[in-house]
Amino acid sequence: MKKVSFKIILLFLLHVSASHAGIDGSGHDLRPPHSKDLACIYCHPPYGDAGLNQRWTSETRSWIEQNGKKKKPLLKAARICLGCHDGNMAMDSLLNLPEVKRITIRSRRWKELDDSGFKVYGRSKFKEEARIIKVVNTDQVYDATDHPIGIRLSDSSYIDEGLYKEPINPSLRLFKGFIECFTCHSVHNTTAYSPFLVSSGTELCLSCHRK
Amino acid sequence: MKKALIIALCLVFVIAGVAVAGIRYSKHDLSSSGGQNTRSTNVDEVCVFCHTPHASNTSMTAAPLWNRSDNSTTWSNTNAYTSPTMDGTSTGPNNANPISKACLSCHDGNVGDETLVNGPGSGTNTITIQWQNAIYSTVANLNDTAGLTNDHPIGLNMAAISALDNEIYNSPQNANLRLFNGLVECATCHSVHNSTNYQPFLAMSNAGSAMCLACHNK
Repeated sequence: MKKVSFKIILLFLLHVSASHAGIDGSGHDLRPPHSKDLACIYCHPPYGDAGLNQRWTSETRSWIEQNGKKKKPLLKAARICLGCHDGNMAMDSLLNLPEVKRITIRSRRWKELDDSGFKVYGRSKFKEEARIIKVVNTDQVYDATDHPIGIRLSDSSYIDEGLYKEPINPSLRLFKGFIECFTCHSVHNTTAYSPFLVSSGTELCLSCHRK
Repeated sequence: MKKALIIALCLVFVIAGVAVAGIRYSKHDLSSSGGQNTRSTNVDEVCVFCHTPHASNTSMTAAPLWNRSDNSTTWSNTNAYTSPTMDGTSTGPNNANPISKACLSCHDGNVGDETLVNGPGSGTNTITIQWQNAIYSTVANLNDTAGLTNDHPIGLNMAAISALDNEIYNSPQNANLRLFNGLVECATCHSVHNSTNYQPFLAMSNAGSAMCLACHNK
């Protein structure tokens, strides 16, 4: 009986550590080297009233641009990503800060990583390709740098016969019918498909686009 | 009843298969697994040679999420097509409209010449694309010694020409042939992703020259 329960505990621990193996060491692992923290705390506080979402403060500042105007993205699913991927990681905007001393250490670490320099205490900019600004295309003029989000695939497929009504690949998830960042990306999971994609590059496109 | 159901199911799969087969395994499939003569040897994605979901090149206004830069091969002949019987003007390779420039970015004879704005994987241009037969010598290379002067003209204002030439219709007589701001471009006759039905990448069947006759009143 004792042996059996020990095995069960071991299996459980292994399972837990395996699920952490996704984000550890990935581009989403925001810990400085030699950190004793779990990578989770940069988004999820163990305590606090933000619904387990550490990024609450920066999330409300994230925005998209449509027709020259700044707008809040449609769903929380996108706001969470844009909380960092609007160009400002704002590491001082965590709801539940660790000791201040440790934030300083982390800030120094980002200074090493940050080519463009350190603007505000705790903030860091990063490579342009991760900075998401959305522009809706006007008639026959495509001026978006990024794939649209916050649109309903089933609505678009009525207009455009080149789209399926829903993704033919079940790895692609819609959120209440809307395409969001999480449709193509899986934030915790460094799979074989970089960066954080749920499927291979071509399969991803052809899951919605009938080409 | 069961037989009918099985047959119906098979038909569904057959039809679905035909409908989905577009760019994949066509001559426009430049991936390493696409099986084409002109292809990459180290990139196994299909869409990335023209499109990217992030950080695309917005100076290409005619195609969405464009992934090619603008350093095209030099054209040996930069003149536009013209002929003694032509009633209108067309564009040459350097002043072509964006929708045709998209095509000419490869059909200038060198698919490898333009760099991708955002390569596959994380970060931009993280890999150097290796090519098999990046420079090609078939008919698809419009950058021969005559340039575009020996190819059907593009950049034609069909309505304006129709007013001068009664052997040209006011607009294409078939809905599969699209004009772009009223102009005939490469994409009027060709459908870039669609290799299923009418080769090479034609927008409609040219049996009995039906495609020609949709614009030319002969």
